[in-house]
Amino acid sequence: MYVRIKRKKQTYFLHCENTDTIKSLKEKITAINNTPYENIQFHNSMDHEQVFQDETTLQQGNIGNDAIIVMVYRDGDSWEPIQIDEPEQ
Amino acid sequence: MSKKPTKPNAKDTNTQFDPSVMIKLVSTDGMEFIVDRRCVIPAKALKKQLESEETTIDLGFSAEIVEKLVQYLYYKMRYDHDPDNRPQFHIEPSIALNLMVAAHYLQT
Repeated sequence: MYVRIKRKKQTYFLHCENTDTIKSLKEKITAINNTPYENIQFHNSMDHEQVFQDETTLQQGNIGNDAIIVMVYRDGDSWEPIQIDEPEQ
Repeated sequence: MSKKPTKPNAKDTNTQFDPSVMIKLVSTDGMEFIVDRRCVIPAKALKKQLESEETTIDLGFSAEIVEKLVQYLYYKMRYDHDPDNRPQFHIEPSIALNLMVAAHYLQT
């Protein structure tokens, strides 16, 4: 399966298994763009209030094939606001 | 910035993840899609760019079309060897025509 991880103008298409953890997905982002994994947070795209915890598996988080995950980066002591840019129609 | 060597860990499947397989596709409206190079191989029009060291490809289509194309290519990679379990691939009627034009150009 794969998931789509979105932040601002970017969408990462990442292959994964439903037994993979949130942490393992963050580490793939780190491998691609060097953002330290502890500076990455994933939110549920259907419920932005929900933050996925590192040890949660994709199955436990109800994250299925083609699901969208919202990504934010650390901003000082806090996290940047959620922002997913929509292309102009 | 120096990278710490990753510790070998039997439970960690990510040690096999090679970020150099990822390639960036850019849409006309400036959106970026970071995808697995191997999934894009069926798009014959991109063959040349994929063979070179190119890490960014400007596709010349809108984000809506690029995203759907990549979804299709990932779907294709996943189910080509498993047609018995292949679900329907949903395409919104509103983008069907433009998607067809793009697919024809890319020869997917």
